[in-house]
Amino acid sequence: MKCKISKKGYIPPQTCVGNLNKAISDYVEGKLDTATRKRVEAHIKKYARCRACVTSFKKTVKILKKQPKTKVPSQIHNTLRKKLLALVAKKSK
Amino acid sequence: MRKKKANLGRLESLLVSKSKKGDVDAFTELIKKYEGKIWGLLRNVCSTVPSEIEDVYQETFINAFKNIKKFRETSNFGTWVYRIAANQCFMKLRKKKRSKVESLDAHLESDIHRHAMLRKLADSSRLPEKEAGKQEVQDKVRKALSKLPREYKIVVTMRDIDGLTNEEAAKALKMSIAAIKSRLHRGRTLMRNSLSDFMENGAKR
Repeated sequence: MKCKISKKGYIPPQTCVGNLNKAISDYVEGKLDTATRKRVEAHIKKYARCRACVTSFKKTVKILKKQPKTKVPSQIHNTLRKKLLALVAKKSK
Repeated sequence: MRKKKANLGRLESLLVSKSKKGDVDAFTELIKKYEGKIWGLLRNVCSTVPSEIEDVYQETFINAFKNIKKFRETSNFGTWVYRIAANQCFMKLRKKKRSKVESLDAHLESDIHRHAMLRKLADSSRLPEKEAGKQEVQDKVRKALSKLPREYKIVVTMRDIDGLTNEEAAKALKMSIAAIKSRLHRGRTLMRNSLSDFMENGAKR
């Protein structure tokens, strides 16, 4: 597999792991088939920059998945329930 | 595990059929199951102004209740409500774009956001270091997310923050799985780029 990463300067994310670019998302989620996963692993083992790139991608996904679930302000429940009950009452008239 | 999931599915189905008959209590149970995810989606994608999020949130569930007879249960209730929430959200954003006072809103929003940030900063100074760290991560993520184009923001929120599968997100947004995957990849890449400095500095600490 040919790595397209330039040796100097900024690494455009889309060339991050060469031809396997689109496989990164599936790779970090463990959704790749065995053959493709092995190709990605062989590639990142060989190229340090690609390895770093995949690691940072993994970290990003991990951070996103760890974001706390938001809580709905409690007063909204009552307002919404009142509106729903009013809707039912209006229908039954 | 599978049995538990099947039981939950049956319970949801029962609540849906009761809701179709106008049972507000059953519908409230359904709301409870998905409220956090819908609220989070609206907060990340739709607006930073609490009162606006509140309006769209209520419109979402009121519309869902009004139209629940049309829900054919080919997907789970959550996916169906997600679609309604996304539509409500896009409608709101379109209206906002058309509005002549958009720039005024933006100023107001950024002011509110800035005040909220300052309050958070003030609060975080009283928190233990570990908690402040977490708060810092959350703020960074929210800021990075708010900069994403809308089409990536909604997919990243659904998939990574709310934990939907590609299939569920595709159904909710009426898109192909390939399109979801592509947007998710682009969105994650942009998020990675926005958070890269923070991740490097964080690693050094």
